[in-house]
Formats: sequence, C-alpha cells, structure tokens
Amino acid sequence: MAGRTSSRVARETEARGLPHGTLEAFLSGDAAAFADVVRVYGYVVRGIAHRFWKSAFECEDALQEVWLHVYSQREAFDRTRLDSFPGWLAVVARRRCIEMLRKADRLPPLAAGESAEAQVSTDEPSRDLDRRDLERHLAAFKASLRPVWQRFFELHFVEGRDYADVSREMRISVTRCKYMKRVLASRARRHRGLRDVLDRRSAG
Amino acid sequence: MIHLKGEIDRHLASGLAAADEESLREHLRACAVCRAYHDEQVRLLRALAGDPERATEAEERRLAANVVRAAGLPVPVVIAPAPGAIDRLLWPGRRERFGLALALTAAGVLLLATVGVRQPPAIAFAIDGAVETRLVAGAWVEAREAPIELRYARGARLNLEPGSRGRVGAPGDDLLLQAGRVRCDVDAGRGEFAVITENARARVLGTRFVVDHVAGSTSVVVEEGRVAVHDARSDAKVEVAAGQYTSIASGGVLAPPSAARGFLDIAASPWAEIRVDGRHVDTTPLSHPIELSAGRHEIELVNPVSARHVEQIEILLGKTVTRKVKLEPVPTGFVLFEGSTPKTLPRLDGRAIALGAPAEVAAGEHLVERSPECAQPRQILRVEVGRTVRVPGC
Repeated sequence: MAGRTSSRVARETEARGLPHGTLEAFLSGDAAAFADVVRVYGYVVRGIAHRFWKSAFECEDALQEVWLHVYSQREAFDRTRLDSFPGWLAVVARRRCIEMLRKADRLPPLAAGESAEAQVSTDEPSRDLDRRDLERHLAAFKASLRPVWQRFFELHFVEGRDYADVSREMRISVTRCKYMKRVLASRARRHRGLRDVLDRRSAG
Repeated sequence: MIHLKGEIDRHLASGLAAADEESLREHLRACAVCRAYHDEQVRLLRALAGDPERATEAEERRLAANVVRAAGLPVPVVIAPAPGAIDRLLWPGRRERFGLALALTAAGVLLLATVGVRQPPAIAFAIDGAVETRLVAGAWVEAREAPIELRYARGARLNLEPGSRGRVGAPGDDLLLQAGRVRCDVDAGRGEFAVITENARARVLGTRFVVDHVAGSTSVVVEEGRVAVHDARSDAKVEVAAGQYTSIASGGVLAPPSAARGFLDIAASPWAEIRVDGRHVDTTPLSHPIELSAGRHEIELVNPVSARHVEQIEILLGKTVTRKVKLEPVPTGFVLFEGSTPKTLPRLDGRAIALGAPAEVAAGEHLVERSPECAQPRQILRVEVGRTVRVPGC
C-alpha cells in the first residue's frame, strides 16, 4: 500500500496549486498549461460532475464539455486573483453541469434558493467499510501474484504509470505491458472478493 | 446492435486513435449494454488502483488529451502521445539497435532471474538549497521561486530555473520539460541524455546547452559540444554546434541552426578594462553593448587603482544583459618611467604607460614589460602605498 499512499500524496500535493506562471499561460491559451490545469485541478471538476452523473462514461463525457466551457470562459477570470482560481473553476463547472442537465431535460427548473445538488443522490455512509474491505481483497489479490506480476500491478495499476514508464522500469516491451494488463484485469474480474465489493457498490 | 467490448477493452487498456475513440464514444452514447460494460471496467480499474470512486492516472491523462484536442490545441507529448510517438521521439535509431537489444534482453533475463525484483532506482537527485531529494522515474520537479539543481545518476547536471517544471525519467532517463528553462551540463562518455518538450527533443552525448520552453515554443542554445534537436511531429532534425541555436514554435518547423548571440552593456565606476573569458574586449564607458555568444561568460573589470571585479554572467539569446559596477578603491602608489621616448612605450600589467609622468597604480606587485633592447625587458615591480617607484630608462 506504500506505493498507493505515495501516489496519492503526490497527487494531493500537486493539487494544492499550480505556479502562477502556468495559470497565466493557461489563461493565454497555452496547450501544455491547459493540460496541466486539467490534470492538477481535475479533482475539482470531477468531484462536481460526479454529483450529477453516476455513470463513469456519462461523467467523463460531461467532463470534456465542462473543461471546454472552462477553456472558452478563461478570459472571464480575473488575472489579478490567481489564488482564487480553484474557486472560480468550481463555480463555472457547477453552473455548466446544471445547464447541461437542464438541456437534457434531466433536471427540473430550480426554485429560487434551491440547490441543484440537493436533487441528486448523495453517497452512502458505508463507503469507509467498503474501502477497508476493498483494501483487504486487493492485498489478497496482489499476494496471489508472482513477483514480476506484483511489480507490474504496483507500477501500472496502483501508481498509474503509463506503458512507456513501466516498460522502461521493468525492462519489458510495451506489448508485454499490454498483455500483462489484460491478464491482470481479467484475473481481477474473476476474483471473488473484489467482485463482491464492486457488486455491492454498484447495487448501493 | 453490435457490441464493442473488445474496442472498450482496447480503449481502456492502451488507448485508441482520436478518430476511433470518438466513434466509440458515439456508440457508447447510444448503447446501454456497452456503456454498462465500460463503466464496470472503469470501476474495476479504479478499484485496482485503490479507490473505485477516484479516476486513475490513465483516465486523467486521457481526459486532458481529449479536452486539449477538442479545444483545437496541439496535444502535449507529456499528456497523450499518439500511439508509438514516444518510441519515435525517444529512440530514432531503435531499429539499428534491435539486434543488440535482443542479445542484451537474453542477458537481462538471466540477470533479473539472479537478482530478483529490486526497488526502483533513483534517476536523479534534486538539490533545493540544503535539501536533497531522491527522484525515481516519473517524478515531477518544479522550481517555484528558487532554482533547483538536478544531478542525474548517469552524470548529467541540470539547473531548473524558477518557474520551470519537468518530469525526470519520463520516459528514459531524460527530462520532459513542460515549461520554463533548463541549463544542462552533460558529461561525455556517460551515455545519451535528452531534454524533451512538446515539440522538440534535444539529444546530446556530452555538452553544455540550454533549453527554453515558453508558451509552446522551444529554443535550444548550445554552449559546448553538439546537440541533435528532433522535431517531435516529424522526422526533421538539426544538429546545433557550440555557439549556435535553433528554435521551434508551437505548430511550426525547426529553424536551421544560426549563431546564438546576445549583448552585454556594462558601466563601471571608475573606468575599467573589460575582459571576457580572459580576453580584453573593450574599455568602459562603452559606445554600444558588446556582442557575445549566448551562454555563461566570466567578466573581469580591471582598473589600476581599484580592486578587480570578477563575475559570472549569463548572456541570453537575443537579449541585452545590463550591469552597473562600482569598483572598490584600493591603496595606491605611483610608478614613474624615466628616459627618452623609446620606439615602444613600457607596459605595466599589459597597459602602455607614458614616460615622465607618474602613473597611479594599486600597491603591490606589477609586471613591467619594456623594449627588448633594455637590460631587463621584463621585471616585477613592487609598489608601496603612497610611494613613487622610479624606473630608469634603458
């Protein structure tokens, strides 16, 4: 779990903010800075979209539209208040999500003072229990793998490294990486404990 | 309706080309069965990463690439390389090395079987003031207010300037420069090293060079050695020699190498001779800035009655570096050359001195050079504070 923890810490550390230079480059329309903003502040927009769309695909589809809207609205952001960027982003993203649901007739018009998020269901409180259960099954799943496969699992699935990184790190080809991913995903699908946790969450 | 589970698997496993992904998305919007399958696979992959509710790194990369592409911008290499682009970008000569790689792979299998699985090796160490951090492949480094020094295990030393950000070992033992400026000093004989940006790759074997990546444009200035710069979007390549530079704008083409020059405008009080890298170039006050090759230079200001001023400065490509220096006075004495006017004037520390008039110089030892007919054409003269040393004519 150490790798997972360090990966999370890295993402959360990054999420504290981008340097002002990168934000200014984004506001000027720079592609690399835009990609950086999407990656670092993705959690803000994803968190909002997740409250409105439960399906992973619908959520991702919506995220693309929301980010395009954010990009087109970037000139409306006050460049003298770069520290307030995450707040501005959250407001723009939330408004866009509500607009999209209204257009799709999936959200009735709001009464004055009513919150749109109140109309969508909130997460159940048993999440912590499920998470502990998941961690236990993941540890068991990982322990059932041979060392090389454990290493691949850790690098690719847990740390989220791309194939180029994993292939360099493990000195295996990218094709081998793809094969290992398919095999592991298929084994994970058949793993009873993992399947039970996921089924429980889907049902919830 | 035909279901596309294989396509979904490929999409989640290794990514699809942009057009294929868009057509898969169209299908998913219409097909509830495939959408459910997609969601199940996504949830599984997230669960394997530790949290079924949290997007994986691969999802984040894919989203960033898609929105950047949808906004009509070039997709940065760091976010979403086109299939095979990283291989092309990093290993232009990989086919030639395939045979060797095959032999090495066999040896590697034996070695791995012997040593087993090891901890990820440190690619580099980041030195931020007194703090040294071990960096493994994929680590991001960002210099916010102060520069950060990167020392690579293979010998390269990099200086990441404030406002710069990059990723080490991503991929290879190189630096992926996302934004900013990095100065590189690479030892010859320690293998290849590269700095990669969204539109260029600067590959070296042993040299000093600077890569600047600002607002989508990359420039590479070479101070020593040679650097091969590859266009990330084509097979174009230019070789840049010492004192030259090349650049590529966002969506543009690689410029042919040309002389990398900058300017130095320096004022000194009192006046001073200006020596650059040990060579006299001019004397203040300057009528116009001095043109120099881009890169680091040692500037020396010399005045006979002041302490020498030595400074390392960096001349930036196409820019003028301005300095105002007040030289510190030092205790002085005088030197008086006597005799009739010779064919060549005597020189004190390389500076011609008129005869018959005392010249003020710093107390201490000075080198006197006179015409070869003199009994002592070269001698060391000791000048004491407030005293005049008389040097008789030949």
